[in-house]
Amino acid sequence: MSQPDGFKVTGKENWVCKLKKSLYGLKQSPRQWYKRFDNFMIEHGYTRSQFDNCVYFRKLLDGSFIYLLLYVDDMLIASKSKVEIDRLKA
Amino acid sequence: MKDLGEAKKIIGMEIQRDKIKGTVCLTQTQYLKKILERFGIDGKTKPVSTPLAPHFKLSASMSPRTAEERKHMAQIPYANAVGALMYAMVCTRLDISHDVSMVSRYMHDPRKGHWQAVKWILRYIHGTTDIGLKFERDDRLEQNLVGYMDSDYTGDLDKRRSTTGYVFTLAKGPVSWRSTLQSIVALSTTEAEYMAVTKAFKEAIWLHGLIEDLGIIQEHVDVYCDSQSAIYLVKNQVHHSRTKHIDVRFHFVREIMDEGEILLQKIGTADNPTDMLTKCVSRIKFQHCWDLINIFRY
Repeated sequence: MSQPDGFKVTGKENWVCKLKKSLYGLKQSPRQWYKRFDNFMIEHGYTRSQFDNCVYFRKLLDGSFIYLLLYVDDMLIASKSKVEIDRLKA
Repeated sequence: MKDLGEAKKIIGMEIQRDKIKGTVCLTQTQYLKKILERFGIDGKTKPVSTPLAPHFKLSASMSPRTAEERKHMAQIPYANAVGALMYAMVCTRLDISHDVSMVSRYMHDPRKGHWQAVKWILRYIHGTTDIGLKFERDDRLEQNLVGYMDSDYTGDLDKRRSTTGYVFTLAKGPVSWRSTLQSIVALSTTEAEYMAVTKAFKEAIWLHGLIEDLGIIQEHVDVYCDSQSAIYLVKNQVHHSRTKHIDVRFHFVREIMDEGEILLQKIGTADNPTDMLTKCVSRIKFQHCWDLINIFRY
């Protein structure tokens, strides 16, 4: 671990920086992205399927469902209600 | 994040919807054309009608090992080709799953004969790039998820193990399939069939739970099997000298059946689409299997 070029502090070369937020390219970044995504979905009233963790669903008032399938960063949304799809996308 | 509008493509699969007829079709034409190009299959190559002809008797020791052959095989992208086919098989091409399972057994030490088989599969793909899965709107929701299973006794020439194959259909189209070598040697066709039942039941339990989460309530799942003896073995508590060693699987499958969540039903061999997942079948039989589970030519 070393300080990046141009940001070297003389006398403190062996110091490192503490990250306050996650960055691109970190080993932990995918996990952070997933956590954020999962929180978002749960805050919006969706349930993660116990049988397949990549499936989120929510029951709508008329008894039909809205599904979201997650594949890394690719998503597929399916529902009978166009309004709900647009609401989720927004 | 970008909104791509109505879904046209996901992880390499093209989606075609027909709202009037109520169908959804999945194809992989673009991906397949790309891999054919990568492995040098072009318009001049002659296509074949089945993915693996019975004259390929694949085994680990197909030809004597010479220094020359080793040098030749070292240049061949065997694992690449098998991997590319496997991705297609996992997404939409269950018609090649038995064949991919066959050639992938020799990944660590491929011989010329194995490579010929891989090329044969590529030639089959060449003639069938426009094939996909079709799902239809079905009003009889109570019988939506259906399973079919089959096994092939001692299909593997090296260790004489048997093959398990199953496919589950939802809305008449295939949603889950598998063709795999069994992990232990079966002593009879009934036993091979029985191990396949266990595998299919495990998958059925999971799928049943998943569709329930998605709001499709189905009382029980029917799994169709063409072996009467395996069905009897599940339903009746017979104790027989030829079956007494099949112990743990017995209790698992019987317990599930008793709960009534998944039922094992009889089907004639002619109506069982999983034949193509366990053995090399003739062209006519092969296309009949397609029709049974809604594999269509776009």
